Amino acid sequence: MPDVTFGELMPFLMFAVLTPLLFSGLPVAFILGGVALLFWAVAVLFAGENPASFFLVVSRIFGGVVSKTVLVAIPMFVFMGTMLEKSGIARDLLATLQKMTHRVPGGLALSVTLLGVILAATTGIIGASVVMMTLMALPVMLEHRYDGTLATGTIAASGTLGILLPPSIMLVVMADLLGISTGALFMAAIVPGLMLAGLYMAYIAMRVSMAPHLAPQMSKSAADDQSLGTGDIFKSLAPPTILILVVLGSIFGGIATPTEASGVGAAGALILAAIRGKLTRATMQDVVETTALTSAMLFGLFVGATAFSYVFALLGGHDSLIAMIEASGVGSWGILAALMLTTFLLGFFFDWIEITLIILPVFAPVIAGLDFAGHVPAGAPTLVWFAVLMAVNLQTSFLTPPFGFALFYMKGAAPDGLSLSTIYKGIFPFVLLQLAGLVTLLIWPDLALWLTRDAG
Amino acid sequence: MAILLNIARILETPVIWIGSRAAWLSVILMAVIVFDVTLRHWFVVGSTQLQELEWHLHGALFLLCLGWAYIRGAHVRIELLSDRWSARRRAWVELAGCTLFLLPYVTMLLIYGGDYVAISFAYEEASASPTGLTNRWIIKGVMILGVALLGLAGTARFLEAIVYLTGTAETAGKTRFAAAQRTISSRT
Amino acid sequence: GQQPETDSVPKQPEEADTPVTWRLSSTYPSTLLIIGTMGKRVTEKIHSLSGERIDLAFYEPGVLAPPFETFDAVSYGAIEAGWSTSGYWAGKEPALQLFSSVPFGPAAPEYLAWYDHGGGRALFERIYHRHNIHGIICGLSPPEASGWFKREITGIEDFQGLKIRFFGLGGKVLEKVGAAPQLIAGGEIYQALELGTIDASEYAMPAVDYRMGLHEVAKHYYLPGWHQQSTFFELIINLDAWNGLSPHQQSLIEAACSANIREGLSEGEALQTEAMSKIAAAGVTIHTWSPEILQSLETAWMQVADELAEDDATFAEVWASLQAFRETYRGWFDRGYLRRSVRD
Ligand code: NA
Ligand code: NA
Repeated sequence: MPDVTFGELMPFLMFAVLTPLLFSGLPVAFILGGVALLFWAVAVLFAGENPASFFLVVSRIFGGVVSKTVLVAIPMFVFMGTMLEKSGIARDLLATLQKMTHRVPGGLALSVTLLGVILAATTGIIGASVVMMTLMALPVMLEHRYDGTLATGTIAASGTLGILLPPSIMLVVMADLLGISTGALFMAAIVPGLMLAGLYMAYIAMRVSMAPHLAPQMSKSAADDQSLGTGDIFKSLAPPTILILVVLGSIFGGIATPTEASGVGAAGALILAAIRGKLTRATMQDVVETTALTSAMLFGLFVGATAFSYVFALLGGHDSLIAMIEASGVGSWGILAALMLTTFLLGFFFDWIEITLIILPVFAPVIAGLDFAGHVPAGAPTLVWFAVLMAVNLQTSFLTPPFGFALFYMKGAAPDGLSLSTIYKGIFPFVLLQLAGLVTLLIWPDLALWLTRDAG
Repeated sequence: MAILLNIARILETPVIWIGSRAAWLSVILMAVIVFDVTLRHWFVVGSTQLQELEWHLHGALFLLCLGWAYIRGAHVRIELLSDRWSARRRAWVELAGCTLFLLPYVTMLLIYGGDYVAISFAYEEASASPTGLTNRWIIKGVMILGVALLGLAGTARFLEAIVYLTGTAETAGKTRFAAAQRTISSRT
Repeated sequence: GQQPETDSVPKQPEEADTPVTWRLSSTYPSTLLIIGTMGKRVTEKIHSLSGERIDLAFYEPGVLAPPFETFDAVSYGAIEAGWSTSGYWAGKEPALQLFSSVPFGPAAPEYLAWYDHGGGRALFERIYHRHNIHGIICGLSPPEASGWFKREITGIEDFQGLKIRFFGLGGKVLEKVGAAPQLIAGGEIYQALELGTIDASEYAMPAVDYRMGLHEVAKHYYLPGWHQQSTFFELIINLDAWNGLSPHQQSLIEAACSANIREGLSEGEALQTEAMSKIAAAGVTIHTWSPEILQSLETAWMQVADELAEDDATFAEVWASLQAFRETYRGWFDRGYLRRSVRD
């Protein structure tokens, strides 16, 4: 190990200070901003950092958070989810699904996973889909005496599929940074995304059949009591189905961008609630407040996190990481392994955009030149395969504690009394499933590449 | 002590007043998006200004609610350990958190943010798109206003913590720390 | 008399200079062909020419400053330098757009002639100095394409109601002829074009466009890029930081930028040919605008330019300077160069 100076350790010290403070019970957003300021001040006082550099924290909040058009989708999907929940539409839907699948162990959890896949096809904004599913599905699952860890794990994992399944902002950014075709990368991500959804469902089914108390089935008599007429099924399934068709239809019909489709969905939910006579002044007030407070919670995190990652970069964190990867990688597989491990570890603390900005521009030429001796054909497909590996890896960054955004989104939207430790325990098996998926893709690159071959 | 508590309530008043009204911006945002989509698809009208208005509204929505969300306890906390702490200990931690993290961070954002808005105002900054909105300083000003409201909420919480930790049982009982304590006791 | 004997070797100029370590925030990723690679290259060139004593650490967009925040950050002194194009700063100073590219404006040699010898540079530096920035033209790229269209455009009336993603002055021109310019987030262009949410999108020059993959979703590619016949790229430096350099360091950076302009242009010209054949091979129809359409667009542009000049005195001043230069230059250009039609 070469000599490491204190200055080189500084960026990593940020994590050492952050982690215990996260557990102080103070708002995470404030801790992030505060720790960033602390390290910046130390750098100004002892390392000659330019005092004007804090200006960029303000710039980053404006240029990287406030003026980002795609982030508009977050409050709109939150509005849509809250409206569906408060108006009872989501409750009826899930109750019907529960009854329809009452013979299938864990039927509700499996339905929720499918809902995650559908939402994933509308957006790549994790905050939106996790919050929306938490608001809609978590109370119902808990009411049906689902185990808290199974319920939260299912929602968090399937809610993050949106970053992997197209359309996905992350894939577009990666394609741009790697200089590969967006279309090819979209195609390449479909099978791995569906494979993960399949893994989740297989796991849920297996887990529930081994431990039925995790997802209590309705007793036979209860199910018979509440046997469903076709009318009931229609009444509860039709509104959300129409809504999904409207949202997806507006995107795929070329009427709205995915961002705008969120607004269309919110308006649709409002109209549905009105048609069902549930749109009282109290409901409206409730929906508007929940939307505003949840958005403030999410964006409070962004405002803190942007300061943290900025100071990390100012202190030379990026350069140190790149030096470490370059030092550890031996041969093509060595470099790939080092990149995958670094991505996974960075995922504990950073979100995907920071990680891709650290790794991709610097290593894109390196990766393009790597030779996986017949494992994948040389050239462009290597980059596509690599991008998919990165994408699956980055999806775990939303789930891994202490700093998994999906976990915070969920905690912020979950009913009071649901503890973060339940969520941590809940996502653990799903993170293992993700890693299993990652290894599968490492072994069989064709899972990602065969659809692109037809396209190209 | 009662005076500190009164000051805290006064500081919170604009935060709650503005936050609870800004919350309705989500409805306006929704209307603007639907209008924009309709206009483009069925009437084919250029709408750069509407598209910019969308993120302006969204920015105002979450920025003006940051402080209100703190008062309403909406900001995410990791309470794995703190759940087991006494209310006094949690009040101490909150006091320290406001003093060491929240208020310094807010102060710095206000200092540098003031310059940021002043530059935008002085040079009559407009959208980078020639077909976009003018008067960029307004949304930048809203950003600073939002941070200032968060600062007011933080100061109020800071004062409340002092009252709770040093005040009489009666005044301490009126703070949010006491209210939070009652919720936890009823839960367990 | 005799020279006093001395054992000290005269110092090399670079050894007399204080070493400089600056942060440079780029508005383009270093991997983006020509537009981004030029920025990365000039930092490397300055580093080596200075004997590693001027270090402009290149930061990818967003790592320090979000792209559109680079101007403020350099002006304020939060970072010392930036790599961008002046067209980005239309909201700060409308006149700066004329130092990026001009619709129906000059191609590279004429643009450089105006900048170096027609008064462009003095105006450019004066505008930037007002914002506490020193601007250096430090890169030049060949003409861009007019972009990707889902349907063929046969006359100017086809622009009526065309939903097109277009940035900058060209967007203003298209608005004049009835198009509906859209502001689609970079990440959503591909899909918006694929699904018909928009009908067309401008992007960059063929070599960059091909890598974006837009040929997969729109099959009509239009040239020439009337809105962007050549593009200046700039190195912007905080004025206080610039004034702190020795004259030697300043001229070294200027020389590196001159070399960078040459390389950007030669690389840019060379890379388009292969990209053009790849685009054609991908089943795209490559169109040339008809003279009538170009004529209508140019008329619209003249109206836009007049309006902008009316609104902003600095814009008017730069526009007048450029127009005056072009007027006299025409006497040379028309006679000095072989016309395309003669060679065809
Ligand atoms: Na998606
Ligand atoms: Na994480």
